[in-house]
Amino acid sequence: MSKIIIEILYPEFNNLYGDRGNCEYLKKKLEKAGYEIAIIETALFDEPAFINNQVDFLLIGPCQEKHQLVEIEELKKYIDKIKNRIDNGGILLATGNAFELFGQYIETPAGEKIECLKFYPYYAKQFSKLRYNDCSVGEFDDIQIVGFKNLLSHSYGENPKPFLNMKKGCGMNPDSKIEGVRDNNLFATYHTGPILPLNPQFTDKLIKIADKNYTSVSLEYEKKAYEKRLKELLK
Amino acid sequence: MSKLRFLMAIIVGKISAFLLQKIFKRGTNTPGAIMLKICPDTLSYFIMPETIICITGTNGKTGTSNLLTHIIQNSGKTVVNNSKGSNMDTGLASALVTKCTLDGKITADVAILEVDERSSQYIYTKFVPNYILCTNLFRDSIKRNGHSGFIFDKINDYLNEKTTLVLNGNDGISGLLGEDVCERVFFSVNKTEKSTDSCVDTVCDLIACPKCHHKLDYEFYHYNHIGVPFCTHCGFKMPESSFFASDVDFNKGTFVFNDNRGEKLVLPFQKGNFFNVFNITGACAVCRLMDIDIDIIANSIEDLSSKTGRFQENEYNDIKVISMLSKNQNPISCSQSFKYLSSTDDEKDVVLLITDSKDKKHGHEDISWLYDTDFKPLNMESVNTIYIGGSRCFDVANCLEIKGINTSKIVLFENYDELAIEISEKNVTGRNIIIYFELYATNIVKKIKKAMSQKEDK
Repeated sequence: MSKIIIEILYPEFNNLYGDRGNCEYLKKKLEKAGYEIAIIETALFDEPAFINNQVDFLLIGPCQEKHQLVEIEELKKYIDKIKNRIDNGGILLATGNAFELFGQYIETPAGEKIECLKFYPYYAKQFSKLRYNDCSVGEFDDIQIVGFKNLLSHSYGENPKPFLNMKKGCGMNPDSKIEGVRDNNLFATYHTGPILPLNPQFTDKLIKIADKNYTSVSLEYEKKAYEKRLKELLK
Repeated sequence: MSKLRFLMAIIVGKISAFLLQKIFKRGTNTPGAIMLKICPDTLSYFIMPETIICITGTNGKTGTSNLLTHIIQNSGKTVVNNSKGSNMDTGLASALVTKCTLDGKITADVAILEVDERSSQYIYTKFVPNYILCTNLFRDSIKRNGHSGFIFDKINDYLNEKTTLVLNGNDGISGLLGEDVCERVFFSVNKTEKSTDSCVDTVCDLIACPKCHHKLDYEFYHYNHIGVPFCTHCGFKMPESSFFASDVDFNKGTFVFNDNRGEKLVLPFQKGNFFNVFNITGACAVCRLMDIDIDIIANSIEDLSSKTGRFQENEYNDIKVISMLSKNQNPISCSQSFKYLSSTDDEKDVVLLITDSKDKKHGHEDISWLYDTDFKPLNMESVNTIYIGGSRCFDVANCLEIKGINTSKIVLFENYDELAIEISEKNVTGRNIIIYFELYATNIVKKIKKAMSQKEDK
């Protein structure tokens, strides 16, 4: 495979916290490794490219809470295709509150329950006036994943396929030690912002899943930035 | 009982303000903080002047407040403002206590108060401003402000129907404040020679229609999402502006202010600072709503225009050192100041002290905003070396590489002092030094300048 296709879902809403950095980093790294990259940006109400075409990385970032409700309705149209992608397709990386899309429902501060895709048993609750900031370290396989969270919601309930075991910081909610979902090709996490540039090792692992012939390449400062952050966070 | 607490708070506030002024020679939030401890409802007990103007928004609050104060003072009115303290409730209380009688009556004619967006609920519920001027709403520091929708709600939920809102008609986010609640007056800036058909900045905070969520069109963009948005799907567009700036001349640094009565004024603005046009237009709009004479406005702006704010220029041994304050963790402010690099072809070295050295005190520093920042101007050929200082220098360098900046230009210093020495020793005649710094790095800028001037003395 020498060409990699990255699709970003709804970037007009799902780019709040430097989340664009994930795609930029993938592109930079993959180009350095000799790949040709195509980036597709899909707007809300347009049919996503992955429905009928090969897409290697599908990225969906965090959005404002009121927009989340609109997006869910749109994504429900493609529920079978999304399920199929998780089981047999390419990578799906969901960050920030996009993690909640795959659960049962989202409860708004007014008490309304918005039905989600219902792939997993957990559910989310939004809070209106408080923001939750966190810097965390979570373990996936043998990789420590560092990053930031800026949230107006937490998740509760059963989560049989967690992505991260938290070493520091909050999980699905402040009392939880697990976070996100890893199910086959789906990597969903509450981490917001540039999780990939912050975690070069994890990014290499993702690329390796997308193309097993990939040999890891590094940017000049990525490792130093990562190691310094990890050390400070675990101190 | 509460009134008694308030009177106690006034006395304690006045004494502490007096003492702190003697000791530190400046205003602080401490008097206000103490007052709110004694009487949590302090702000609602002040007998406020007839006119209260609050200024809020992501960018341009301070510039606009200072300008308004200046014009209104020139019109012969006395003003109380919080320019020396913070823009939160404690800062407001600190400012008000210095200009009130012992029973809490404000002795100035007008209160001009800069208000932090997130403090709205602690302020607009305590007294009713006659005017709230909102400059704009953008993404801002992530930890403090979350996203622009969160901040919008923080303001919108606490507006009083008796307040007149003065809003930026080029901003499809803040321009929706107070819909169906308040009287709303708009100001805007007409298309200029620098307007673009598509958004050329790294981030645009309003791509989809705020009403129907379909993709918005723009007649043109001034910068980021500031422009003239409209929706072909549902027909959404911004209300008409009764005050507007036209004929912006970037070479001369002038524009024409047009008011709601057909009057026109040619006004100067700080060259290279287009934000300034919005600030002046907004401030003038409020003044005209208050019936301040148009000639007084014109003269006040003339004599302010020479003063510069966050931009400083010094020269040592023929080396020009320009320092520009970039607001902490604010990608819009940073991106806009980088645009200055593209305005000259002079050879230059750039120093980046932009990560927030104080943020780590609130846990670990969040650097996500770097990815929303437009670093393209750093790629210019006339930029020789890029010095990056501070403990997060590897993150900045990594982001620069991802954004396509040539890493051979980059030099890193985790330690600020070593950076100061390196710059003062390695500088090359004929090359300017441009320093971008965040608020808490002010000292290191002073150090660099001091080292350079000492070298000059030798």
